[in-house]
Amino acid sequence: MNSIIGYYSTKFGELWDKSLDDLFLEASTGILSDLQIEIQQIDAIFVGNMLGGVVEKQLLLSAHLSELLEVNIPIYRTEAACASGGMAFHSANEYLKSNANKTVLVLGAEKMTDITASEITQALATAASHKEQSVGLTFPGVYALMAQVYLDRYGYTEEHLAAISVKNHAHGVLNENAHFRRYVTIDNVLESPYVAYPLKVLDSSPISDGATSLIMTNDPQMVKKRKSVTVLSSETATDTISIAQRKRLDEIESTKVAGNNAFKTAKIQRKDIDVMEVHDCFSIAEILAVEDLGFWKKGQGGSQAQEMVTYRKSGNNMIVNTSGGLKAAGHPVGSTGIKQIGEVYLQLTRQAKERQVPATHGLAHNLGGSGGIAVVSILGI
Amino acid sequence: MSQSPVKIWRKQKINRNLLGKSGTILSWTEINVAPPQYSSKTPYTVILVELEDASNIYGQFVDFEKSDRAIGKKVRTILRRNGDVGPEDVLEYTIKFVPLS
Amino acid sequence: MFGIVDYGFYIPKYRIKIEEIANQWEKCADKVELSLKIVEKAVAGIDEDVLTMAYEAASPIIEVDTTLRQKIGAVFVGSETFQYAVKPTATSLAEWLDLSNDYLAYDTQFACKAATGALISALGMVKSGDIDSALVCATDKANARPKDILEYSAGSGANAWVLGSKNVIAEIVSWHSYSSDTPDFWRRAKAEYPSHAGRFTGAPAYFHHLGEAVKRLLKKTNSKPTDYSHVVFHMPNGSFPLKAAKQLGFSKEQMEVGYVVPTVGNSYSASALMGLVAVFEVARPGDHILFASYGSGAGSDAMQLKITKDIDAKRKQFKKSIAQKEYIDYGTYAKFMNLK
Repeated sequence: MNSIIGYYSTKFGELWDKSLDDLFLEASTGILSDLQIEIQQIDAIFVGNMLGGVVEKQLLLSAHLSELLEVNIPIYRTEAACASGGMAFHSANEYLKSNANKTVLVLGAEKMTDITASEITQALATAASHKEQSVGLTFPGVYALMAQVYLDRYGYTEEHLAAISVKNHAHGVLNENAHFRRYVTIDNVLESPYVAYPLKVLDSSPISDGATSLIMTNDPQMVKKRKSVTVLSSETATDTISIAQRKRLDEIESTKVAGNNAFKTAKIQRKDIDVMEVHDCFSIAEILAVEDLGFWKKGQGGSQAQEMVTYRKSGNNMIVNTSGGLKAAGHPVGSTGIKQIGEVYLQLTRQAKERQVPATHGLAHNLGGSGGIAVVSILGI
Repeated sequence: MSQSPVKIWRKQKINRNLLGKSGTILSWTEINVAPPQYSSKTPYTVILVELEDASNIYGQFVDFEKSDRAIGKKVRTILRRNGDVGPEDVLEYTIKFVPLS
Repeated sequence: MFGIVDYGFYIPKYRIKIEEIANQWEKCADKVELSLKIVEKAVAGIDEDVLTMAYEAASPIIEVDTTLRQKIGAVFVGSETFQYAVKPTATSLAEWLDLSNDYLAYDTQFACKAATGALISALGMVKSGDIDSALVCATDKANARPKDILEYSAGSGANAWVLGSKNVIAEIVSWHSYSSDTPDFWRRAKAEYPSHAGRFTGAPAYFHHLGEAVKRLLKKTNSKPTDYSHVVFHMPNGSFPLKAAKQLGFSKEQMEVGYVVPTVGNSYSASALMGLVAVFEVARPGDHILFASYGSGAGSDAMQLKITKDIDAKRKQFKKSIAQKEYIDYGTYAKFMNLK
């Protein structure tokens, strides 16, 4: 049985005076200090980071971290675009399934604000296929193509998408580490400039710096006397990198496959989930995610979003993105998947402070690129 | 900023086969924030097209009226310059789309 | 019989009015239009260049007769606005047209007569039997220094010509080229815009060279001005060709069909040949055509063509096609011309 025994997050935002190294160090020393664990007790490190090579010109992050943390233990780096963090967690979980009595550090960090908007757009576009990149189709552009089909097919408007951002911003106000801690209205979203029609600035998660970490273990001694949750399942699935090659443009198959497998493995039902962190890189993505995870019928999401049924104050019993989602909490790419797990962990262990909702089972959904990879993890207490 | 000449040369042989084709718009978007190679060209429209042979390809959409730019509209392929390159780089040409009149 | 077996053309749909340019520079639009006899010119879009336009002009010819892919043994492209100083556009054109690799290719420059010179050379190769067919393209996205007088006329356009010996639609009966070293208009290798010597571009340049080429061709062919149904002269503006016609004894009626510059501008290497495209739309079997290009630097290629009965199968609609247009303002024009 694998457990999560701790979580740490830096602030997310435009952290001008912090380098990628500073972020890695803060997240790793921070969690060890909070849990009063020595680095010598860590058997392996799993690190998620997307842009180390492209932006920082730094690969071989394992050796880089070995230098920063002064260790010689195994370090595994995963890159899965925006699911780099989720895949780091997933890989750690797999490692713990096959190695007894181990304790691991899961780390994710991203430094995105040292370069211009145009350059980061280009860097992020490396998660899209070459065919998409070579026509100047940016990442927002790919999701915009999906949004167009969704809105057209099911008769929704940009207002339905905007409701997601309004909800997530309201949640983010309560998150002390969030990139944005302010309310936005439907009108604010509709008036914001277009990034890739019909997606606007306020439909899109921001460019953020940040780092997050988790300590996971299958060693009963380490779990004693700590606030812990059990990893009931963590499943991953893939799909084509180009949306042009997908079976449908209004759904993300990797989410469906990973989600179904996660529920099967965890042996629980969807109605058991109280809290979810889903991948809202763009407002449309959250709508598709909740549908593709099987909570809403395909095409129902727009009206469900408009009715704010997953808002903390809705009175309903399945709340989505209490952290503020990617939209308000921010999206330092490699950190996000770990933040999602961390937020569910905080909810389940009643450490979510003002964001707290009643929760005994939670789900984290992390997507890479336009859905080329999905990681769905279910935690229970 | 630009592609390697070898990659341009290889792609040409593939792209050439897409000339003289027509298809239907599956989806479209207009890009306002672009990578450096296309920054001077914003806003530009990108479409996903289902060609007559049922394959799907992306391309920029040019020389259109607003009414041509909708899901279901018919388009055809043409040869145009692709983005900006540095003053000493090899030029890039690519397949783009115009409305099928 | 040797000559043109098929042809194609492409004029971009964008137009800018001379009035729009004149207003930009606070010049009196009426006076500019009156002296240049141009109303508007065609402008290629932001992602169009000499290669894409040449492709548009040439590809329909290949589509109609795909055997040309193997038969074309020479590909020549003439332009003043090549994107490369070293790297032929001709091979790129051939590649996009999916021709065989068995062809001679080169790019040529000689101001506005870059392509007609290549046309004559290609004719020689076909006549000698060295090659079966040749493809010659004229293409320009002509630019001019902002506010300069040339800005009103420098336009975009392309045309493509296949030369051969079977099913000839216009026999090239005879030609004469007159050349001399005359620096009336030029562009240094690394300069962005061409320069010119003002009024020196008139009598000693355009009129002298075109005049001599035409006169010597008439003599060579033992013909007189009235023998020709249509006459096409290079059109740097709307007044030069009419003046030359008068000087050489040709009537306004003979000039009329080929006189395209007032509504499409001067597409430089494609300019005179565009007049020929207009003529081919209406010319009848048996018609004699007199054609003379002019290239600054300087020279003129004069040709006598005879239309055959095969023209009907190959003539293209020109007048109606250029009526499809969209006007742009000066800002958009500057953006389109600023392609790097």
